[in-house]
Amino acid sequence: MKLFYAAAAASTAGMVLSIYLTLLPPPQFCEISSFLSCETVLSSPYAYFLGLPTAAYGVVWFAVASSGVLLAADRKAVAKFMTIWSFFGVAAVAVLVYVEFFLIGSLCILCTVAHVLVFAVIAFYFYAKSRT
Amino acid sequence: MPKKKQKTTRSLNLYLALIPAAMLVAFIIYLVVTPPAANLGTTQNTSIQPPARTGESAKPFTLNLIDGNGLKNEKLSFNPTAGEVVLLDFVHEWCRFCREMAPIMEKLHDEYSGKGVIFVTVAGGYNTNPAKTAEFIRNYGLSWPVVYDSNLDVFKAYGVQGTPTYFLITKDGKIATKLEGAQTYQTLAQQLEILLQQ
Repeated sequence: MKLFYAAAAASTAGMVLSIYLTLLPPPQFCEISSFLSCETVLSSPYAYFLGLPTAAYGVVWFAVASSGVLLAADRKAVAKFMTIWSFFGVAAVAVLVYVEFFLIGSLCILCTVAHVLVFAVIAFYFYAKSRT
Repeated sequence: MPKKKQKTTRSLNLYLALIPAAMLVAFIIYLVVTPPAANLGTTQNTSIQPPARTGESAKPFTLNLIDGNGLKNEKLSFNPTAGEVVLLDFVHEWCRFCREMAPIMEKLHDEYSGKGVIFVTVAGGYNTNPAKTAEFIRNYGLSWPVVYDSNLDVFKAYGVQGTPTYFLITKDGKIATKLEGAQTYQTLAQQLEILLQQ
């Protein structure tokens, strides 16, 4: 059960980070070079999708994943949903990384932390499922 | 695991799962009540057009003027074919490089406004508001026209992907150069000299 809680904790951390990226300007430590620049990424047109900040979709993904991993421990239907949700998470990260590298040409470190947290949530979750 | 403990864990998980769900609901309500940008609406006029590129005609636009006191009840209609060289820059008040560039822009303005270069700054509305942008204008003493692009419509029309971005526009309204990121005084001055001689 501890691994499910670890997945939920990683997901909650991701949610808090995504809320920060949605609502506040990036901190100065995020500006390392013209390539490693959160400002460049977060002020680009790709920072919005369907009229909402892209990070807001991260909040939704992490919030659902947080609840999902806790409920999936002993509910088969939720476990199936979490598998699909994980796929969406990985696909979204892949698209976002592509956009950063090839369309914007800059990398946002805080966004990368959020991407790593997506993988951490999924890794903890599937490892926990494999042990139950 | 004993059945009683299993039931307790199941209930605990259910309650814990409600916390992120509640946070999400609170977040959505907050977003609806106070959107992160002044306006989250997508652009209707500019999004369907490809962004302006070097060599193409600069796109005209009309935006609200803003100064150190805030949004003015006055609009600036930017017409790139007015027969003068234009230095059009895109900034965000929170952008560190834009702040670092402010003294350079001031120096360029002092040097080139008398030589017939028009300076226009487009201040973006992403993650900021007119009050903060006015404070930026006040603090850095921008003395040329600054317009406020709340929806980033003009940012999108010009294909601006980050701030600061500089467009140098020829007398006949063509985009001669697009420079992204912080620049030296010499780089911008050199480009302006070339355009003034044309």
